[in-house]
Amino acid sequence: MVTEIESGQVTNLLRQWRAGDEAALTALTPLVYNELRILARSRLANERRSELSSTELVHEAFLRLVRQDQPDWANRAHFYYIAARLMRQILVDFVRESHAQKRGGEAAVLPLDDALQVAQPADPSVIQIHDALNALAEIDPRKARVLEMRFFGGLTAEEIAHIENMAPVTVTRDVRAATAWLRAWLTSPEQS
Amino acid sequence: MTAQQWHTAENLFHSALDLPPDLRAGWVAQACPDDPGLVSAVIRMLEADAAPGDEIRRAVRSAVKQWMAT
Repeated sequence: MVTEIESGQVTNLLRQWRAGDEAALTALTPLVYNELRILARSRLANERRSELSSTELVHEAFLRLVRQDQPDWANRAHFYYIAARLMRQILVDFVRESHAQKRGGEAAVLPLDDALQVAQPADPSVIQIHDALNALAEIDPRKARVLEMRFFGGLTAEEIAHIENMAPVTVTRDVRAATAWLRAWLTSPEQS
Repeated sequence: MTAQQWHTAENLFHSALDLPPDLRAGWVAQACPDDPGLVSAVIRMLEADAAPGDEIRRAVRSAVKQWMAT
């Protein structure tokens, strides 16, 4: 499937959003969302799909939508931020839907080789991670945003530093504390 | 936990990380003797930090894989 969006359009919207135009973010969101879905669909027939992470999806969506001749670091970081937010939303919706289907007796059956690679029984679900991030957002919205970028978009400390306008070393420090809080919450949410 | 408690917990967490692992919990308990709730929150953060595992990333990766397989 070919993306019909002109690459210049996304680049311009990213610039406008960075300049403070919230309407540009509203316009960008469905474009990025559609691209992520198209990529996921197009990967169905591709054997490499089992290796694809959300980080790679986000990077690939950027390359397809922006394809810029002159690399614009800040634009890329901001694109990844939108894509990370969308990946979180997509995955939460997906897991909720598949749980609802299971309750209806239509459990999704994975092929054995996939089943071996899925999360271990003790792992948290994406819904629990989502709830934990919401709980963190109540006491520290910025760090919740940082972890969202880290876990759902695979952004590096440098990329997050660009968006949050802070030093990469501070991002690394914040990620460590916030991740510790998140993991403690996931172990015993009632105590956190 | 309030935003203020979290701010304190974070500072205690980072300070404790500068100490050898076996001294951390005791130091946190001494640093805020009047707030056992905060002490236990920081100690659980330190335990989570020290625990091996990549369960959050794995959970996200697994969900991506299942989403793409549908």
